[in-house]
Amino acid sequence: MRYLKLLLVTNLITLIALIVIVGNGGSPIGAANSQQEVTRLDGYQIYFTEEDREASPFDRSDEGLSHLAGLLRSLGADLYAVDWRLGIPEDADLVVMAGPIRYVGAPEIARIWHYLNNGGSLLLLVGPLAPTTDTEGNVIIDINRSIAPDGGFFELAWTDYGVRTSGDVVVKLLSPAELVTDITTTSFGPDHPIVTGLSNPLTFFVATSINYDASVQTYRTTPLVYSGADYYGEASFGAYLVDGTVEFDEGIDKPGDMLTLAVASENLTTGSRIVIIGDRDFATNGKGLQTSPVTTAGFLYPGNVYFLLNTVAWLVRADASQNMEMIFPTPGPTATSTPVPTPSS
Amino acid sequence: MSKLWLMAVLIAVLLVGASGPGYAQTDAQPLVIFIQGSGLEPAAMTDTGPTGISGLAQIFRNLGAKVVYSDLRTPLPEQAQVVVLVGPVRTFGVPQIAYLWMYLANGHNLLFAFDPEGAFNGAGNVEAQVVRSGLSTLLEWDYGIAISDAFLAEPWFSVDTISTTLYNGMLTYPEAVQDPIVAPLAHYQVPIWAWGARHMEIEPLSIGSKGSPLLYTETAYGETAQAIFRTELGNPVDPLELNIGTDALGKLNVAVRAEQMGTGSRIVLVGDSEIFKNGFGLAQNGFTPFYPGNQIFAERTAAWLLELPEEQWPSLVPGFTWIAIDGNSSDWEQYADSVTTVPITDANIKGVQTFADRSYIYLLIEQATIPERVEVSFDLNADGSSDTTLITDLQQVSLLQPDGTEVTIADADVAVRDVIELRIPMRVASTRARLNEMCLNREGTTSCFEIPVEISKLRTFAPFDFGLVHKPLVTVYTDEAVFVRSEPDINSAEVAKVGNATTFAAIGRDSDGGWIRVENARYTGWIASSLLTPSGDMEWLPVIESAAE
Repeated sequence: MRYLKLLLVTNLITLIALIVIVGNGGSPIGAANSQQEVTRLDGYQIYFTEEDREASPFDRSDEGLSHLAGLLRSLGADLYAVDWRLGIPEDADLVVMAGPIRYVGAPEIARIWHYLNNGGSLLLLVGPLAPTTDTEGNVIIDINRSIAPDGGFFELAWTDYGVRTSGDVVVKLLSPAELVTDITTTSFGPDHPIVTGLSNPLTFFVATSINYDASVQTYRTTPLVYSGADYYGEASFGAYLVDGTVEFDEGIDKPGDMLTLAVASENLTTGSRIVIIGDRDFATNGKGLQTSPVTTAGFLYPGNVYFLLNTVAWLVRADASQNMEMIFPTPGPTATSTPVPTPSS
Repeated sequence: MSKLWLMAVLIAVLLVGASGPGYAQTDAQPLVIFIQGSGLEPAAMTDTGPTGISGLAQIFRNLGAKVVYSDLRTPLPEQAQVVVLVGPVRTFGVPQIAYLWMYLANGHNLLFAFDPEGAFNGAGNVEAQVVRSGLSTLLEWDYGIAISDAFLAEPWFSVDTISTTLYNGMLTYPEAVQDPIVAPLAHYQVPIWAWGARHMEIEPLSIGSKGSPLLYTETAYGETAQAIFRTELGNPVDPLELNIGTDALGKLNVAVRAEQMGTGSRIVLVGDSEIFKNGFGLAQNGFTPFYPGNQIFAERTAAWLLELPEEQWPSLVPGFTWIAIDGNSSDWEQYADSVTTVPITDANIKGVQTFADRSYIYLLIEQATIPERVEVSFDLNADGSSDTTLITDLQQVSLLQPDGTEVTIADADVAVRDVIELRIPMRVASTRARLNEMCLNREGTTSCFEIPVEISKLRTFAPFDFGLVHKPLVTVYTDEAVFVRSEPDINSAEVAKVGNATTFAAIGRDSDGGWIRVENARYTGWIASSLLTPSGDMEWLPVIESAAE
């Protein structure tokens, strides 16, 4: 009986607190902490990759992407998973690779490049670290080698879009043994639809900086978000993971001041667009799109939400005249874990 | 006025420039791009040497294509209809695979020939990593083709011989399926030569693709051990041996073709690059192909990839005898002016025709009723008497021995349908042989006819020496001609004098291995082993006692 009661309460909270968009421009419910115009995505076909252990739109855990998926669906988008064996459908408006942590092989990259070369769009979130198992089977955090900065993917991305990750970890050094990887920033790049009108700060958790070439080329590349000047790009984060000490190495580490954390690029020959965000957790349920309480739409980092929705709208070339206001309720004071009812409780 | 001219010139220049650097073409002329350079180090179309593929490029030109080369450092141009990549040596990078796949996924065609991983090509070991690079995954997804990482080893191959490409000669056979590329090769039973190959599997009807096997081998096994080749670091580590349960056995495909239904893209995959190289499969003897099967295979593969209508495909290579032993007389019509027609007036036989090329004697018997047994006798010394008699039960052909026993001639052939056709290797008779007598046996009754006629001689070659099938091979590679002798003795009689690159089946050896008993359609005898390059270990050959011993 107690179990049933708890379940009912949980569902009620969910109903009340879930995203408060009702139809086309429906009325928000609940107290608002953030309010911004977003573009409707009616009929757009968005495909998510999952083969290389990316965050999944069907995963409701902290590691999942169900919050983002819910937002996109509520704006009218249709969501699918990519079946690499069949390739990316021609009518796909966007492919989202949300933080691969397993090696992205040549077959997948070939599929993506064919899709992009025919005018497709890609949103790639790629973090510098990834969980892996050591020789004794323990889960440890290691450098993410799924898409190496000097590997084939970024060889192509550098050629066709002038963008590649640097392989570092953007950190703020507190002491030789203490550093911070969380970044909250309002330092946006110049004049790009994705960042125009953004007022809330963006929050990154473990990010890599992104190199870009904004010179006059057959692509147009625009930095979107910068870290603060007190951060630098630690090139030897792997060593830090082993011995726990770290220091800024002149000539090796990337000095602070405007390290780029997200970049947008458009290939002027093919018309294809890509956005790369240097942090997988920027969009996951448990981090960048965390809500409090967890089963509400009270996003702790609404800036991340608006940034991601703007990014998707730009990538799919959504019609800005179909904008609508999206308002989220004020989150609770802290994030809490999901209550899990058990018969014995 | 001058300004108008200047503008006209400028517009013309802009229009020409718009077609892309180096890729200008007319609407009627398909563009074919050969991949060379690019870090993969494949065989080059600009290389006229033995390891080059200028001959293959010429085949595409002869079919009306404009042929250029490019590397894979940039996307392939959309106007190219076919891309040719033969024998990459270095590992595929991700961008190269992506560019290749972008091109194919847009509906274009590919000819891709590749060698076994690790194979020693004289300069180094092949490291293309077709399977590990991920290229094979795409081939499986989109075309239903699974590439194996094995080396096809004939049972007689050895670790010594497989480290030299020239020694790896083996025969692959056209699939009997009705496929436009290999149909004439299957019809005339002409194999295709390969030198160190690998195999693959194809799903005839996959999701979104359809395909056909083209060439196969049945005698070779797929050696999966990796360290069987010599490297710069030293000798091979793994033994070359068949491991049941691990190595592939049975009918193994060496070449396949497939078509992607969604895009219309066509590909031909060939598990050996030497099939298309100047000094190997496409070697020329003057203006005549050394291996007509390979030439035809290359021509028809190119025509299919260029999507030419079949009536525009090249005809069979001239200079060869195109007679299929299938019991059908239709292909004899092309030789009507050359054959010897034997006048016979008999209730059972309507006529006999015969001729010979440089390798075989061909015989056509138009019969009223099908006999159970046919005997054909030859006069070898023009004395009017029969010296050699062949017997056929219409299943196989045998040589009648002086003691009355019969020895099967494996490379002779016989077929019965509308007519009886026979193909007899020249070595059994001789170039001077005359037809002398023929006997037909039916229901216990034998009818014999005296037919003492000359056999007309054509200067053509058979498209293949059928005596080489399923046997270890030896090839003469010397600057000077070599004698085939009657005995394993340098003082014995000279049977024949043969030139460089003549290939024989090795059928035995003398006790110390100094001489090899050899045989092909034209000759049989002994050659000193030092003058031969073997395709395998000759130690296992049976020891043949010579008449002199």
